[in-house]
Amino acid sequence: MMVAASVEGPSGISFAYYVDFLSRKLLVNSFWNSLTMAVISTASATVVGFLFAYAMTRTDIPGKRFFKGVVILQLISLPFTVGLSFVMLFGRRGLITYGLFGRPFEIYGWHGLWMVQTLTFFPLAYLVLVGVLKSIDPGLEYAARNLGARDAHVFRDVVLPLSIPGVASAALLVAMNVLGDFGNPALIAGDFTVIATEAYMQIVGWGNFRMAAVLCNILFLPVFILFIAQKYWVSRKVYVTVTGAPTQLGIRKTSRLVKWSLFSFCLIISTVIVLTYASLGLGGFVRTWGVDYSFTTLHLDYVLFQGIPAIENALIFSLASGLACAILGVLDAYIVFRKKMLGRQLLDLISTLPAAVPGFILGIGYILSFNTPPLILTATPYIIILNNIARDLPTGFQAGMAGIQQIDVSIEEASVNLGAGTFQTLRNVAIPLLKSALGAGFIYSFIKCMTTVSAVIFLITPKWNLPSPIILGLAGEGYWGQAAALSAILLTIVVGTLLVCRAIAGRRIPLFEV
Amino acid sequence: MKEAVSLNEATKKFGSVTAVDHATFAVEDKSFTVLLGPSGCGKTTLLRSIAGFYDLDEGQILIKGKDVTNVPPHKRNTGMVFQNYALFPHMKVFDNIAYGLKFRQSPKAEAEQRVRKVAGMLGIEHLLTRFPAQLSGGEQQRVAVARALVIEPEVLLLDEPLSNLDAKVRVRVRAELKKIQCDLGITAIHVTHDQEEALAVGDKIVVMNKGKVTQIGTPTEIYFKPQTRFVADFIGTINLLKATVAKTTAKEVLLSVGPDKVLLTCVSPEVVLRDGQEVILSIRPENVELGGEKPAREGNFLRGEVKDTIFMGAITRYFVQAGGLELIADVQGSDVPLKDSVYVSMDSSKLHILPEAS
Repeated sequence: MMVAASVEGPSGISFAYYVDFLSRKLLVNSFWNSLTMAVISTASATVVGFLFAYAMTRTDIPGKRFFKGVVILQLISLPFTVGLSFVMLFGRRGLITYGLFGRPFEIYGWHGLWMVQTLTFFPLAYLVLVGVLKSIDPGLEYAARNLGARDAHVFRDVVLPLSIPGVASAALLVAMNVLGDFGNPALIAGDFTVIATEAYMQIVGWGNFRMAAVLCNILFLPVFILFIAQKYWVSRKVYVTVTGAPTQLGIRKTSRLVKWSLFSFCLIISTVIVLTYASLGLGGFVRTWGVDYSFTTLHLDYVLFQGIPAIENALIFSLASGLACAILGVLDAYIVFRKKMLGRQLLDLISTLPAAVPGFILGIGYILSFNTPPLILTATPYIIILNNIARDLPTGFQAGMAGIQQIDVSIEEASVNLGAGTFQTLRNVAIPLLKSALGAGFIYSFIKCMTTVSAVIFLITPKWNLPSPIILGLAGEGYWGQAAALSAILLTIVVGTLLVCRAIAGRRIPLFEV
Repeated sequence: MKEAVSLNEATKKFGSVTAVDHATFAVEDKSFTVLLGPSGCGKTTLLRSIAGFYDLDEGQILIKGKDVTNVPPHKRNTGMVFQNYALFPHMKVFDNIAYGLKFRQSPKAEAEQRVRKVAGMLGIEHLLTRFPAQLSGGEQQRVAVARALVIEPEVLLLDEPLSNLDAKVRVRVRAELKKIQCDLGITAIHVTHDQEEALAVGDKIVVMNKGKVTQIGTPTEIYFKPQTRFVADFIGTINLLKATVAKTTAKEVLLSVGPDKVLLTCVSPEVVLRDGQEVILSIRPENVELGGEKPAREGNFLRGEVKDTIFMGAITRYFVQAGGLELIADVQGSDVPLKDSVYVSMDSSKLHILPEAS
């Protein structure tokens, strides 16, 4: 990652800025705040994710489709939707706190951020844990039951130990994302400053690129450690419980108490999330949120006027980077998994690392690298597209990986055996079979690019603006109506894209099968 | 007879494990040769090396007299049937079978004719427009065989192609495979760990263990005249008896067997024995005769006691203790089970001395 290196460049010459960092209490505090937030949010998000995943895979609660829909919505949504709507719902003039209960509530601060991050990132944990729980053969639970274990014991002695590696993996993923998140802290953290927002202040407020680079480096260290831990340690410990023929037994019936407790829990969480989206939809059509709830299309008009060029940009950039990520990702995965090439390991690392680099670090890295010759890209659309590709290559890679792992090696060997060379095998067998992986890679990266904020916020210019940073800016200045309206439009586009793709691709491309 | 495939000191290592250890043997043209051994013995590695999927670390592979050791797999013209069939899931049966012809510049009309011909031979003409996922296991297997045959390979390589089929289908399909191979007069190398299958289809069996070739022979040689303890043990059920050579004549060997030093005669083996030498004697259970009366033959019988019996359908298996020896005897369709005291007798031509232990 030359980007990471370039971040190091300006500060590596002297350690003066590091010394300066240590002498600034505010910055040191924000570092500890970042870590604290990562620890508590990871814990809560992982627990919520686990309970959700358990409820979906191990019980027969009603409304699974609804709960899954909520999770998918959270996964594809703008990363700061919850933060934005929490301020609108539970803020000082929030609809629920002030409007319903008539008392001002202080949402700003660590507690608000904690709740928001939990709701924002539990779907990531859920996604990992669903996979893990699904792979645990229900037969094992029957076996434990048969040997005399009570329900609680089955959970404690069988399900939990087998999912521990998955839980660790999920927790590390959440932690990396919380550490790198920019939007929610910017909206709701208040005085509880974190590194991501401080780095932004250093650049936008003070023009102090070097200090921003120092902050990035300081935060990058724990993130990188988590990444390595996740990739090389935890992922190796995942138990493979698939032995012989898979059990045809269905899931075991859970006790009614457990079932309905889990159902209530999922319902509460999902309701809160649905409320957040409802408030965004509503917020776009009321005159002044918190004061005057009369209907207006004023915000929508404003947003259509201001936001359309940005949305056009977003669509073009996302299309370009989505295509690039899908093709590069699949090619990349093909090389990593099929070809014994020199530098395979390195390629594997490069293809997965960007997922761990917090967006704002990558954004700052890009400004620093492309501000100077040989390649000056600052203030061009190319820097945004390039940045999107770098950020979402892991998404394409993962789709490619999933596709390739489904194709038995012997199918390609059969092609070679029948006389096809490497290229002909690629063209006749591998590529046709990887079509759905390409499609999935494209759609996932496209959606991610549409909603990304933390990296591009450093790269946009008035000419090449994007909707998500605009929303953040509007919200930051208290234009809730406009922010909500633009969010609603953007989300409609993203959800619409997904629904259309799902309808077209049908079962051929499994999109968000959670 | 001409040799279709020859291996010369072929060796393949994976890290520190030697999967195939200096294998040297020849596969006769138009023969059905079986590579037999337990899992992990290197038989599949050897087959895949012949196909060219592995590069040998040492030695050579010759196909029809031509050294192909360094020829890439797609230029070897070997037709392989994979264990999981490896049909192209995105192509119809017809295109699956025709695939290999694409790289052999055969005109379209001719290619279609060849596909139909081979499909007819395997009885799958009616499946040509289907996708692999719409076929049963047995049908998929036929398609895989057709796809390998249509290219008229120098050698047909079969990598446990029957292991995913039901027991009954397997028996039928293996007979068909053998017949097709015979009718077409092609050379086939078949990998299996199923000794019964090997005996049933093989013209020649190559028994492998721990990467090494232990014995090569016809099914009857492998079955009745195992060269090593491993081969004897691996194939079927066998009685192995420790014995000492008491006396050798031109035609026969007199052996003192077991703790009670029972004397048994045995037809002289090819190896030279000396008096007092320790050897291992083998005899198949079906060659151990049991009777209530004293047998007519002179010598080679002893009195014993039945310890246990298992009814196995066509035969009944007796566990007999005789002269300090534990013997297994299979008797065909015995309506009246023999009990307690019996006479055990063995034909001297059926007793075999394992050369390895000699």
